[in-house]
Amino acid sequence: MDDFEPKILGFVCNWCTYAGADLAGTSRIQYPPNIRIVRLMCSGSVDPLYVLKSLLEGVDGVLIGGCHPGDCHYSNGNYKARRRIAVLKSILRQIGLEDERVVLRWISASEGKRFADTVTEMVGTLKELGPNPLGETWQI
Amino acid sequence: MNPAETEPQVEKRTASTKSAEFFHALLEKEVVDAVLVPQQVPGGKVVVQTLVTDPSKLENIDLMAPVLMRNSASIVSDLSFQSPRGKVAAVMRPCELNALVELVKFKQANLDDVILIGVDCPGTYEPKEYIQIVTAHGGPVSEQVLDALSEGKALSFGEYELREACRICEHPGPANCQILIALWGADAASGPAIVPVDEKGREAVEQASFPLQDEPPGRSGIIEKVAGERSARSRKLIEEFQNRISSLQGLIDEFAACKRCMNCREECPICYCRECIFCSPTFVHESNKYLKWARQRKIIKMPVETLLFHLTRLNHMGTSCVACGQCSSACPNGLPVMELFRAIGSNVQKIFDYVPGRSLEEEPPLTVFREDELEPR
Repeated sequence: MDDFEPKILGFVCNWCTYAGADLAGTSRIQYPPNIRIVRLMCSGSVDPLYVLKSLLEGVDGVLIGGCHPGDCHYSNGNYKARRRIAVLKSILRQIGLEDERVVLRWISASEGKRFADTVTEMVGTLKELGPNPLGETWQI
Repeated sequence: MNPAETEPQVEKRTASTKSAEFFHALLEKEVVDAVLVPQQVPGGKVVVQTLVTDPSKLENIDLMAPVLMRNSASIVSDLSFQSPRGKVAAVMRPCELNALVELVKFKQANLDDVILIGVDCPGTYEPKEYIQIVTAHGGPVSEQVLDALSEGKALSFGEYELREACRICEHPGPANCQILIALWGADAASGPAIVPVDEKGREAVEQASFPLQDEPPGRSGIIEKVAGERSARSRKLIEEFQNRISSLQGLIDEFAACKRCMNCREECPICYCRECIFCSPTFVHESNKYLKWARQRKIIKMPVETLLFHLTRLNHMGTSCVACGQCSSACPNGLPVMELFRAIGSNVQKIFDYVPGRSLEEEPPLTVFREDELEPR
């Protein structure tokens, strides 16, 4: 298990977290290369379907990044995301999948360090959890 | 006697006569343009919702038949979601009313021109079993149903069992209606009581020049007892099911026979999207994609994305599931769809202290938010 490198998919919003990730890069902050980023306009546009789809495709963790409460470019998309992800995590727990695999984090455009720390933290958690069992099932 | 070969016998349906008179009056006095009411099909084999504008076409009314072909919430949605529309009185069971409340909140139905007539419900059988019951009995069983309900007893027709959704249903009496057709505790000889519940209902009954009736005295006690028994059964069933799916393998085993026909979604009154994303190009995959999946996992079940389908539906409408069980009835392979939604749905509803169908005032959880909630995540 020592050589297990978790795959993380990141759904990040255009206005805050994507810029935060960009800042992490331009500031040359080091963080694990385990994340692949999908830029969306808003964390509120993340249908839980896409998180489920990612998990069923076998990614080990999913990060949803949005603006801090009160800062959403569209006023309240992040609040709606918060409810949707709460429902999703409850469902995952109930079917026996670790809900720590899904992380919703508020990361602003000025928080490059926070983005790097989040990815580092997720990689640590996922290494402890091991590979996503949904990646090996015969039914998807 | 084979009921398919004989005309329905009017004199056998005295229990429905009074309600038929009421709907007759609603149409005759032009209180409404149409009534949506369950009637026996010619031959009496089964009972379906009918939309009636002519008072002479009410002769096969059957409010007691323990069968539900489709949750009528979607029918009332069709009848009311856009204007111009007619004024309709709709006869609905408790689970249908609950589902309709959710649809109104999703702006899929409009109750401005609808009079909701709730009818007490003893539970329903699967349509194919109902047909067997009627065939064995030699005709509709409304009289037997009214007898059982008036005494607060469970239905008993041979070895047949009510649908599981009905056996764990905690709503034997309707809520959110304007007029109540009371069967629990009703006087079997004089038939169901037609009771206005609110001002709109009272007005309609008065306009129809129909006598105002009170709820049968024993009704609330019977309903409490029935709901209590079913609630106990519900807790047990749900707990058992939760244990069965609490490991990933458990859920996969339970739904191994799913072929993604999507009948459950088709019959679900809450699933209202005109175009389901599962029917969109998002789910048309390149041929090579299937081989890629198979290579990744060495083996995959075909058709794919059965698990994804159910988990997505849970996310999309689990907060509003009223547990009417039409999904399970629609499943050709007998999968426990209702149990899945009841078990998981009740827990996600708890997060927001939300009870689907309880009130028109409560916003569906996924359409609103509070600034100070769900932290830390």
